[in-house]
Amino acid sequence: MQRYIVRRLLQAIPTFFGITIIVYFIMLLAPGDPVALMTFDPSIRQDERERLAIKLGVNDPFHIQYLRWLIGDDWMLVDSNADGEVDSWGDNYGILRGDFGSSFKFRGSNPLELISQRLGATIELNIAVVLIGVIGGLLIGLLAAVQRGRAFDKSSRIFAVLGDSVPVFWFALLAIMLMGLVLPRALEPHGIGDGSPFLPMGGRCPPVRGGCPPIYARLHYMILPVLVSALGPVAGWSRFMRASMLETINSDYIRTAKAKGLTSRGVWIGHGLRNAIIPLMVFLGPLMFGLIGGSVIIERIFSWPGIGLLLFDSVVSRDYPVVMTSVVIGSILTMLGYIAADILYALFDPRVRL
Amino acid sequence: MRNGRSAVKIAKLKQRHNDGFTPSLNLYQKAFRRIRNDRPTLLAMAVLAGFALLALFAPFLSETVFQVDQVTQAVRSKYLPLFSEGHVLGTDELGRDHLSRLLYGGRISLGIGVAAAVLSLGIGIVVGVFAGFYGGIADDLINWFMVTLNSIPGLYLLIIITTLLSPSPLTLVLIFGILGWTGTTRLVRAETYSIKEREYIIAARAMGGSNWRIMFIHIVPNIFSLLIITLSQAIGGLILAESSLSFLGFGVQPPTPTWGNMLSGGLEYARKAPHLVYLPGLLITTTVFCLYLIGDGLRDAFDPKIAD
Repeated sequence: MQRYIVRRLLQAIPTFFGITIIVYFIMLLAPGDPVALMTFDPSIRQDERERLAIKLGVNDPFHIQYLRWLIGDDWMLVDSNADGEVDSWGDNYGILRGDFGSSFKFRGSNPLELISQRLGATIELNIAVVLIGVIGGLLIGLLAAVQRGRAFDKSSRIFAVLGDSVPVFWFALLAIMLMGLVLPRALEPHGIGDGSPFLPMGGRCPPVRGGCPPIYARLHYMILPVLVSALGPVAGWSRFMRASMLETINSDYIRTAKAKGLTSRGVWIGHGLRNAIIPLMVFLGPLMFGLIGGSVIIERIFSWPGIGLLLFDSVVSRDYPVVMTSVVIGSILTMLGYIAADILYALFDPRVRL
Repeated sequence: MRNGRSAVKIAKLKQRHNDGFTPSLNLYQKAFRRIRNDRPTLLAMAVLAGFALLALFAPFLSETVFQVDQVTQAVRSKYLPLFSEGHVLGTDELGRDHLSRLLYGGRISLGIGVAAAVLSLGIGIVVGVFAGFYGGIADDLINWFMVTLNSIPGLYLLIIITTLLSPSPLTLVLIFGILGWTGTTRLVRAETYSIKEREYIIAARAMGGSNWRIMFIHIVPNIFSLLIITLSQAIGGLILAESSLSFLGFGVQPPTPTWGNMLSGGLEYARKAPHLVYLPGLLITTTVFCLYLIGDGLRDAFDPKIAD
């Protein structure tokens, strides 16, 4: 087992370098030169600009620039006063040592810090979505398998396909309009509510100073975003679960259990369910971290202050260091998600030979 | 001529059937029979064909059938509701005819979906067959590249690339195509891997078939059914991706209409003119729903084992 984990982690190393190369290459194509962006101030003289360009290394060939970004340049001599000769050591530590440069927009702040401030919000949302999505999906899938071919099974198929085909932001908007506008107005004459929205329409907590209260005090802020983003996972997992359950229920040990006279509840829940869940573990990691990518949309429409929204804001304001950091961190998390899923699978299923 | 021939064929089949023969059908004939009895899939195909025709004849429909004046915009007649005079589906925030924009937007949205899906499928097939057939270092490299590409959250990658390029429909097709091939590749690679050991491939090789011929004449046609299923799902996924990008403001830029950017543009005016939000969203959902249903139906038709 340990050897398997170590091997799986070692495999992540080339992937990590691949990610950094792709991200760096794409950002190199970015319009607007970073020197011009950093020296927007008209009082800066041309020679200072050139000095900055050399210091940042924007004129170096691609692989040198990439290496300086990756492992830093404090080990190499750079030309700091632009006289054509190298004279001092670089002062950049490189992303491998946690130096992602500094944000253009939030002057001088470390992008890693910006991200770690936001990561909590995203993870909180994603854990809730995973819980609701997996539990809801398993229940619907189980029922559909038990009721195979009957009305519930058929309608759950339609629901699952529909859940996959709705644009998430459109569904979110419909939910917002329903809970914030249509229902309150319709129910006000009947003495329910006072015409104000039933649920908070966005944000993570009331706008107060000193950060958000603990999570149990602001659960109602999570209801809409979680339900909206759980639609896709519920739809997907109900299909996985149904297929896995049907496959399990046709195996020999289930027939044995039936022959021994177990109640059908005992067969389905006791023997079937537990074995049917195992193959689904593979999907858990990708789900958990796949949500990080999708969170851009949910966080944007519900103004949820997570890393998706940070990425969006940084892209809009062309804050390249923060953009690159969010993409690299998001990718590492996704990669770890896949690894975690493989390890979980091996842990849960003793039949997997390592 | 053709009808005559198929009538003869059917008569022959009937004759054989009466003689106690059951004619054996090939994979596609069997699948076709199953699809013929699968009402939801047939309905989805009909709806989709309808949308495709509407999009195809957008100029004719808009100018001749509904007699919309596309040149002069009346700023006074903005936010007209549904079923207004001269504008069956109302007008938008600039007084443009909503129906015409939906028709033209459908052309671009469906076009992007189909073209990008075909492109990514094409790349996926070629790369997948090569990786599965040759194996070795090339396979490892391709695998490494795919794992890497899949580790970067898809939407992140799309967002940073589209901000850099501010895409036209054509560049968006290229971007989707170049980023979206890994799923197909993985599928094709696995299938190729198992097919290449079968007897008929060995037979083809014994008869002097080149690698090239074996890959594209013997292997690819055998996974064709899988590819049709993948295609219909890929088109759906890409239409959704286009709308998500448009919602974030990174997709095809207005005034070129796509269902995605019409929907995201309409969000601002949701209170004044709700039809600007409902209709494009409904069209996207219906289209993708039909595509996914067809994908499901095709899978069941080609491989009834999975469909219990």
